[in-house]
Amino acid sequence: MDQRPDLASIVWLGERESLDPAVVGPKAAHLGALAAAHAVPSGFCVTAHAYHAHRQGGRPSAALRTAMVDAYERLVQGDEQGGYVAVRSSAVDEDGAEASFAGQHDTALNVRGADAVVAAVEATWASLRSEAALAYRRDHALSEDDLALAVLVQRMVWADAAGVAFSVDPIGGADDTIVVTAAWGLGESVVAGTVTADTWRLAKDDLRVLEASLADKERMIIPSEDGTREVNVPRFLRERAALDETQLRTVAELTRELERERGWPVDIEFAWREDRLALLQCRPVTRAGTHAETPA
Amino acid sequence: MSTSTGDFPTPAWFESEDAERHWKRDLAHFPGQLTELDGELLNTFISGGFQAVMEAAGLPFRFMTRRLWTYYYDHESTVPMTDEERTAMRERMPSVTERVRTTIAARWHEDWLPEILEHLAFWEGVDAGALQRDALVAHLETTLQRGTRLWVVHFELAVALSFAKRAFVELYDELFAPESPLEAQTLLSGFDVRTTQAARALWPLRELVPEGPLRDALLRVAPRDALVELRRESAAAPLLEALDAYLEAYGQRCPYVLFSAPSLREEPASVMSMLRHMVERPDADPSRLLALQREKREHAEREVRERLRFYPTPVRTEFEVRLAAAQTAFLVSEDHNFLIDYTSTAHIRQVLRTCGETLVRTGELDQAPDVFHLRVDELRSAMRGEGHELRERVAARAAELARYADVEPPSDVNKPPPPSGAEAASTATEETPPDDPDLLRGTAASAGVVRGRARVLRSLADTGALLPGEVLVAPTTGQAWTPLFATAGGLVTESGNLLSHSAVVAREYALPAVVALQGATKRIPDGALLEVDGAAGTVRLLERP
Repeated sequence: MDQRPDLASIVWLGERESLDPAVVGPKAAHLGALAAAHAVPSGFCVTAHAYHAHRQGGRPSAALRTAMVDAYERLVQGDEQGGYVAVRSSAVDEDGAEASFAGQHDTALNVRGADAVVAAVEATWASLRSEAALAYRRDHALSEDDLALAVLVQRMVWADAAGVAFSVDPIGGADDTIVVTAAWGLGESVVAGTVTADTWRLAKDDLRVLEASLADKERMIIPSEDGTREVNVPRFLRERAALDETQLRTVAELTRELERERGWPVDIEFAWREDRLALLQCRPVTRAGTHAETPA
Repeated sequence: MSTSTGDFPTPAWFESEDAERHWKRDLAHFPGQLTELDGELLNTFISGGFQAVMEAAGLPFRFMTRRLWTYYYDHESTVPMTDEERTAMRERMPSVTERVRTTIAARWHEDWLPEILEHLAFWEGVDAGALQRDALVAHLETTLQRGTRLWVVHFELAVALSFAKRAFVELYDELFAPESPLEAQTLLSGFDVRTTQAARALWPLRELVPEGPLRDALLRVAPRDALVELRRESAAAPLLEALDAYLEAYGQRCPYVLFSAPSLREEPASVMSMLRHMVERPDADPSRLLALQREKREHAEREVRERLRFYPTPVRTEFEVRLAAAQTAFLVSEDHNFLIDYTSTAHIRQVLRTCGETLVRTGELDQAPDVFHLRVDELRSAMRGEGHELRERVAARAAELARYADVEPPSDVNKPPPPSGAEAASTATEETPPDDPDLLRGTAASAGVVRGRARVLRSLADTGALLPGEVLVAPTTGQAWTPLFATAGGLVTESGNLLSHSAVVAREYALPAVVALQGATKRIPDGALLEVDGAAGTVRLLERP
């Protein structure tokens, strides 16, 4: 791995370099490509270059630390929520490809303050080397030596309801169906499948609801002062649909639009806070039994 | 409990089913004896008002009251339903309760309060004593009709308020699983209600208490006599004038919902007692106490919003809606008690008493208060000049009151229905552990720990005995007792619950309080040194007198 001093250590979502999977990892690169036109929470990446060039004994160099602190201060300037961010990993392989990597590396949610953000970046770097991650990579025949990790730092969305949507049916494979799942609070529990979520299937052409299955949502994950916590959903809310009709339709429209825009079936993560829809992730659908062909 | 013992012979039941029904006392509202007329009017107003409201809402709950051995008893029941009716009611309940609790503020300002004030203004506008006999008879009928209507309003309000408070507390408990039920109550206190307004209006009068021997006289005399004492002194004129104005504005209140009980205007003992305490406790400024409570509530509001900010918007919105309704409910429940339970009772009493005066003038009664020994139909006949043997009836009923004056009637008649799970649990926690006879347990009502001498007061007439900082121990404390809260260091009552008047007002005064401590006035000796822990709901006897 060579030193490439011409490369930036910090890249903002939406900047040209944020579209390059080799610099920011495929996960961040997908968002980088969408930041200009969609409601992607603003953020910056600590790049693969920073991981290679400015990591000393697992910790950032003084220069990188200063750069991260500056970037954080800029990110949260004028933030009414008080400067909370999400710190997520975005792994980079030599070929820039991405297997379904969701959940493999540390994610730190609702982090506040420059020191806490720097610490979260360090923890994310360390997680790359964790056994579970290495085992996953071995199984997928990826080279350990060529690994790097970019880290994405974004404004935190305190989700009222969040979920995952697919522009095709990920199980049955029907291309004319959009599937939306959602539950109360942060989307982590929906992504990880730890709570029962509401599920809708919609026709892709006219977005009419084909099937709705509302769950009794007993638990939810919400932000806390130092991360997240799982709490009971108050009884009055448990059986209420996590998305109203307008919200559901807006999510489905976005999913359809992203598939059209990207040119491949998409798997998105979204979050609603009041009347604002945030796009948290957009990646190619990994269908059962096949690896998605990921356009670089 | 058998209904036929030496002290308590089987009552002459009002209807034959009564013999099988479960009757229980309500010490919180009616700790003492009722006259014949009290008993009849209460049943008309309370049973009738409650039933009208339940029927209008399509709910099957009923309530009836009886006067047994001169004491108040009531009986709760449910109209039998088919399974279909029960299912339908269960399905309807959530929307009924939601509609009722979310419209409280609007209905209070647009319907209930104007109607209540119209009734009170009606009575204020009639000088019953100046009416001719026929007109007085008509005025009596109108008064009873208006009383009946006011008690329908009372229960419309009571139902709405209980829905609103319960919905808030349930959500609060779900979200925060508080260690103490008092936590949620902090958010519902520190509002400017009529009860505290009355205390505040008296506060400036302490400046008018003259210096010197007259002041000592005021402080020394028993409160019952204080007013008479003062009237003899010209230096007391400014104070007396202000007192008259105060009683004019705030004195038309009975201490309980008892038509036979003198209003504060007639018997200002507790007002004088409050004034005396205010002179002794210049730090007990009711405005300052209210400001402290308001600050405490506003702090709690900020804190709870901080805790809620990470929650989904629908949770925060629902919390705010329920909090606003519960806060309105708090205000309204204090004010409607003040206006209906205590003020309208004083007006109705005045009309009845005026009838009594008329019957004294015509020689049918010996003294006006004897009217409270009559039944309504007997009073009507007598007013039409068709009364029979009034004196004999009065004498018999007065004797009955005297016979039961010093006994403690049974708390239950016939077997109570099996308690629900929640009630069973709360009874269990309130039991005193047998190994510690000096630790008494009641219900936590107002947080704080205080040590002080116990002052056991069985009635309002005894209030002069309470010294600043002492722990007030009483069967119950209605609104007329409120003045003492500024003087007392702590409060222990035998009746009540977390939402009852004693508890609510104790929190307003930041007074450590334990309520529903069974037998408190008997188990706690007067003068004992106590430690009251209002958050734990315990009273420790540190030293017996």
